[in-house]
Amino acid sequence: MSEKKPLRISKIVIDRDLCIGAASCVTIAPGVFQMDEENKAILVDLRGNDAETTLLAAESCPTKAIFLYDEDGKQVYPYT
Amino acid sequence: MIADYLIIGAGIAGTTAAETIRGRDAGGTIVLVGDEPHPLYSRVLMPHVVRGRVGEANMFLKKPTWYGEKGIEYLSGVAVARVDAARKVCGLSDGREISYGKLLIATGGRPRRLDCPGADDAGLLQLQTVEDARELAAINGGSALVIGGGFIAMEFALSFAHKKIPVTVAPRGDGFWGRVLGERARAMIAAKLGSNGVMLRSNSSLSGFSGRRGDIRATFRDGGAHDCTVVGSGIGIEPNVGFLKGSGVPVNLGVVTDEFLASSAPGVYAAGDVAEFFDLISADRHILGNWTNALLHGKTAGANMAGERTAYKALTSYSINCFDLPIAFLGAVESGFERLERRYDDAVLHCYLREGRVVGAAAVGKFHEREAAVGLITPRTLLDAARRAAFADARLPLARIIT
Repeated sequence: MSEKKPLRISKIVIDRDLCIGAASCVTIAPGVFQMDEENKAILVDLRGNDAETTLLAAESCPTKAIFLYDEDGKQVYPYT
Repeated sequence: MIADYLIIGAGIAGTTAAETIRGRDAGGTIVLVGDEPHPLYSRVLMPHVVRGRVGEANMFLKKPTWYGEKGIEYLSGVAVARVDAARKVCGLSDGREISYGKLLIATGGRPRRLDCPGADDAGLLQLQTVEDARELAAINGGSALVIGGGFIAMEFALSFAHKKIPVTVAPRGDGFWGRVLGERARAMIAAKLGSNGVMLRSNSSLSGFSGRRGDIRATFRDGGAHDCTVVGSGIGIEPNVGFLKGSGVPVNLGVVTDEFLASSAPGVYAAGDVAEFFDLISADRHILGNWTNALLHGKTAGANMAGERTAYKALTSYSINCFDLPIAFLGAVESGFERLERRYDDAVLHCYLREGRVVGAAAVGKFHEREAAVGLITPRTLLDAARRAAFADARLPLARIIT
């Protein structure tokens, strides 16, 4: 079995139109995400939490508003 | 049939619990029972689907193949009819019996039904399932009436408005969230609805319906009537606990658990909208019905079922955008709590006190002091007279109260 490549996240995009402010991302990865005054998620620090936690935060979003990309620009989440 | 772990309810709480258990116990048998014939989907995404913002396929959070890949036996389209906690056995709606080692009840809630004459014939819309979303998405033209004054009523109103269908909302109280929001916050919401063509018929006590979908008359106890072609019902949900009658699992409003999400019945846990859990943040027992709570409940309950002993502690919120007006509830927001108000030029922030301590907040208009509100709620800050005065004075940053 080949060694699983460590998860690297190089870019995070939040679709503000999809975000409804459930704030699950902030609850799970507060170092990466915060809410702005319109109660929408914003990116504060790409490396504010470890990559696994950031992935969990993205997966927790009930509107799939968080898009993660790796170093090659490939979409890591939502799974395609 | 025997399962080391039996999970009833395949929504976000139950599915997350199954996934969490599998991460800690590679070999245990996991059976997940859900009464809907679908893989996991996001109810929160349904309004986006109804309004055509995303396709229906986007609602699904797991592929049908995911369950098998994880070694989770998913019995979909099946309900649990009864539980015998003394024998550790569940009976399914299809007649099968499953013996369990650990049991998770994650059955969520069902929309409360309007109990008035003519309601069945009027063909009321609900908004909980994929099927409900499809039904609402397919409606065009006519005029709509929405019964209720909370989140689902608001979703109905926004969906009809998006479809350019004239809509009137009839809450029981004065405006939206009449029992928990102050007058100014409710007025802001009413104004936003009004400027977008949504009519509000406050203090409406429904007496009944006549007619069928396409030609419905709703009548009210004040003698008034409202004619429309379709009615959306959003009057809250009630926990799915009926099947637990006589089971030996303790039920009050929901399944009663401690902060570990364990009930007093051996090996029986609860998670999500059905769990009446001891909340370490508000220091009381209650049900919280929001996505993040259900997801994190699933993680904690799953971990504890697999042998850990982790207390649940999370501050979660429920939000909506009323057109471009954000509305958010954070933590415990209940009608019996004392409410304080902080007024900004274009927004209102409430905090809710239980025994003088901050346990929840609600924001209408903007929520720029969210972090400070979290800072007040998390340690259950006691607000004395000076702090109450400081909360009411929006000229000073809210964060100052904490220090």
